[in-house]
Amino acid sequence: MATFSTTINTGLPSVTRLGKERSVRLRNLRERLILAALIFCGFFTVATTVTIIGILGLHAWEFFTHEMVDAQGNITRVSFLEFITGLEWNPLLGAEKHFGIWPLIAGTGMVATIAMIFALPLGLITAIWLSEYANPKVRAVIKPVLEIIAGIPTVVFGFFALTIITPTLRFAFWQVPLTNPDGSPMLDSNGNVLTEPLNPLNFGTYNALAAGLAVGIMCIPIVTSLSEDALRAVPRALREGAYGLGSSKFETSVKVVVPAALSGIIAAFLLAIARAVGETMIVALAAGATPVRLFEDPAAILDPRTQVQPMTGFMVQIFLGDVAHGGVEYLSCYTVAATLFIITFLLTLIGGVIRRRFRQAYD
Amino acid sequence: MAISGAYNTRPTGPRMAKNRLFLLLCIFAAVMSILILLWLLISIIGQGAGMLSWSFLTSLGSKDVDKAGFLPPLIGSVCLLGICALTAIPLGIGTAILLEEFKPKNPALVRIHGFVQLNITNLAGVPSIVYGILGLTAFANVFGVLGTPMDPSFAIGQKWYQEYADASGRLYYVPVNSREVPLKPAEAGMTFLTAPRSGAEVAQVTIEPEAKLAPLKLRIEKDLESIEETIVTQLDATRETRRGPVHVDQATAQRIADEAFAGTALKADTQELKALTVTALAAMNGKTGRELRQDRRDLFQTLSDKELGAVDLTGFMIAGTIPNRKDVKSWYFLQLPFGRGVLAGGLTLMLVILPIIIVASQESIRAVPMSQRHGSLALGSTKWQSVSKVVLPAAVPGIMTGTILAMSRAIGEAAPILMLGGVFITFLPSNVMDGFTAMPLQIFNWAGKPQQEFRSVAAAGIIVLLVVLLSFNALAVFIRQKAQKSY
Repeated sequence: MATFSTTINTGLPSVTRLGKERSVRLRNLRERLILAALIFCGFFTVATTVTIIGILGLHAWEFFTHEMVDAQGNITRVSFLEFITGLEWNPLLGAEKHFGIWPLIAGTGMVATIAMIFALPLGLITAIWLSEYANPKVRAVIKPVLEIIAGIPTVVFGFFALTIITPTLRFAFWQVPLTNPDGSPMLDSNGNVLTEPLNPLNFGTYNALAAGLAVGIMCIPIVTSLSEDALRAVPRALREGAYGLGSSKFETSVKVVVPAALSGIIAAFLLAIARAVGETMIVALAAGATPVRLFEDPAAILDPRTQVQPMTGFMVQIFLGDVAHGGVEYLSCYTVAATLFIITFLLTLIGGVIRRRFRQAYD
Repeated sequence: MAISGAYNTRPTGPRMAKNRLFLLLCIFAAVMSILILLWLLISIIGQGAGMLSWSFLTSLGSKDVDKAGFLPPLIGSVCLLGICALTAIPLGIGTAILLEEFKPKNPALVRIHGFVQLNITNLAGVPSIVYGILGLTAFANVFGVLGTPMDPSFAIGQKWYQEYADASGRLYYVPVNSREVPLKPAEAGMTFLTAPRSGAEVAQVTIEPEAKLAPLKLRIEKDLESIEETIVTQLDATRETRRGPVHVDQATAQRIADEAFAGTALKADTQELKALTVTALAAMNGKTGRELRQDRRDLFQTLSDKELGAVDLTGFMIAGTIPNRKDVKSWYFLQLPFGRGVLAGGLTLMLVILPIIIVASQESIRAVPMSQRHGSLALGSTKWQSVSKVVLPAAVPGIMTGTILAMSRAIGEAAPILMLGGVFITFLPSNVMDGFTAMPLQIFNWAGKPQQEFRSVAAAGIIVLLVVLLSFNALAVFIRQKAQKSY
C-alpha cells in the first residue's frame, strides 16, 4: 500500500498503473495476515480459559482416581465423596490424613463474610453519597482516595492486617507485665520486664476478623465505583418524579434510585464477593494456617477470633513449601484451586447475567 | 451542609430527621475510607521510614536484618514488567481491535464473538493465584512434556564444566560437552582451568596420592577444631548466666589462648596466632548473642586462613577427587521448559493483566466516533488502514492510561508469582531463566517472618512499592488529562 499512495502523491501515473495490480494483491494479503494475527490474539484469551479448566480438571481427575504417595511415603487414595462431604482437612501431618474441603470453604466463607459485612454497607452508602449528595469539591477528594485504595497491592493490606489491625484487636497499646508462677515479674536476659498485650477478647496472633477487615477495606472501592456507575445510570426523570411527589432526598435515594439500580448494585456485590473469595495475600499473611476444625467444633465458624485457613491460604502454604511434584499434597492443591475457580466463576457469571437480564432500560 | 443540587425539598418532622441522619451516615462512611487510608499510610511510614536508606535500595540483601537490601526485588520487578509489557500490550490491543473493529455479521461468528467477550469478562474475575498455578504448569513445567526444568529437553547458551577442589579448597574446572558426561575422578595428566570460562588460564595442579596429602590436611583440621572447641568452652565458662555476656580480661584471654594452643602442631607462627587470639578475646569482653558469635567466627576464620596460608596446599589435588557438575549460563540462556524464572513469572503476570488491558483498550476504541471511521473508509482506505491510521491514534491515550494502570496492578501482584519466584534471592537475574524475586514477593517474605525486626524492613519495602505505584498512577492521570479530546 505504501507504494500505491506514494505514487499518487508524486503524481507519476505510469508507475501507478504498473504498481497498482501488484499492490492490491499485496494489500489484500496484508489485510488477511493482520486479521489472522488479530484472530490469534482473540484465540489466545480463549485458549487461556481452556488451559485453566483443562489443567485444573485433569489434575483433579488424577487426584480422585489415582493412588498417590504423600510426603511420608504412604499411599493414599481420596474419594470424591470424601472431598465434597468431609469436615476435616488435614493433608500434611498426622498419621491419618483427611481431605474434606468444607473446613477450607468455611475459612474462605468466614473471611469473605466479615469482609462483606464491612464493605457492602460502607461501599454502598459511599456510592449513594457520591452519586446523590456530594458536590464536585467533595467528589474530588473522595474519588482519588478510593482510587488510591483500589491501587494498593493486596500484600500491603495483608501487612496492615498483621501488624496493625491484629495488634489493635489484641489491645497491643495496653501492655500488661508477664508474671512467673510465683507472682514475680518475668524478666528477659537484659533484666527488662516482659509484657504482653492485654487482649481482653482473646484474639489470636492470626485471626479471621483482622484478615476479613483488611479484605473488606480492599473491596470498598470495587463496591463503591461499580454501584455508583449503576446509580448514575438511573435517569433524572425518576428522581424528579419522586421529588415531585414530595419525597425527601433520603426517600428519593433509598426508595427510588437504589431499587432502580438494584441489578447493577447486586452485580457489584457479587464481583466484590468474588474478589474477597479469591483474595490470597491478605489471608496468607493474617488469617493463619490451621483449617477450621469443623469435625470437632462446628460452632468455630462463628468465632472470628481464631485462626482459619481459606482455600487460597492453603495453596500458598503448599507452594511455598517443598512438595513433591505429583504427590498427594501437590495434587490436592489443584483440586482446591478447581473448587475456588468454580466458585468465583459462578459468582462472576451470575453477576454478569444479573446485570444484563435485570437491567431496566429507560430509553 | 453538603446537600446540593437542583432539588431542595424541605420535608418536615421525623422524615427530615431521617434525611439528616442518613446524610450523617453518608459522611461517616466517606470519612471512614479517608481515615482508613490515612491510618494505613501513616502506620506503614511510621514503621518503615527508619529503614529507608540509599544502601537499602542498592544492596543485594542478606539474612541479616540490618543488611537487608531491596535491589534484587526492584530489578526483578523491572524484568517481570518488561516481559509482561512486551507480551500483554500487543496481545491485549490486538484482541481489543478484533472485538471492536472486526465485528462479524454472520450469526455463527456473532456467537463466537459474544463468547470471546464473555470469556474476557470471566478471565478478569479468575483469582490471581489460579493464574499462578496455570503459570507453574504451562510455563515453568510446560505440562511436563518437555522434560523437567532441571533436565530440560532443549537448552541454548549453557556450558558445562566439571569442578574439582584441591586440598586447600580452591576450585578448578574442566570443560565438558554436556551434563551427561560422567564425572571423571582426578588423575595425573589432566589439564585444569582456573575459572569456568573459555580462555581461562591453565592451572598448575599437582596430583598427589591421598596417602601423602590427606594426613596433613586432617591434622590441620583437627588442630583447628580443638582450638575452636577450647576457646568456645572457656568463653562460656566465664558467663554468669547461660546467655549472659562473657567476662574476659587480659589475663583470662592469655590463659584461654595458652590452653587452646597447647598440644597443637601448627605450621604457622604460633606466637603470632596466640597474640592475635589474645587481642580478639579481650575485645569480646562483655559481648553476648549474635555479636559474640560473629566475633568468634571472625577469629576462627583468621586462624584458619593463617594456618592454611602457612602450609599452602594450593595446587595439590588428591588423586581420585570426584568433581561436581557446574554450568555457566550466558545472558541469552534459554531452555524449555522455562523453569521457575523471570520469563515464566513475566508471562504469568501477562495473563493476569491481559483482560484489564483488553477491556480498557476496547473502551477507548469504542469512544472514537463512527464518523472518523466512515471518513477514512470513504477516502478509500482498507479496514486495517482505517484502524491503524485513524482509530488507533485517536484511541492511544486511553489505551496508554489503561495499560499503565494494568502495569501498576502487575507490579503489586504477589499471588500469581508466589510459586514461580525464589524465597531467598540475593543476586540479580542474569538471564530470563534465572530465579527472581519481586517487590511484593519480598515484602510478603519479610512480613511473614516470625522475627519482629523484619516488619520494619517489610514496611520500608512497602513504601518503595507504593512510591513506584503512585508515580505510575500519576503518569496515567497526566496522560489522560494531557490527551483528552472531545469530538
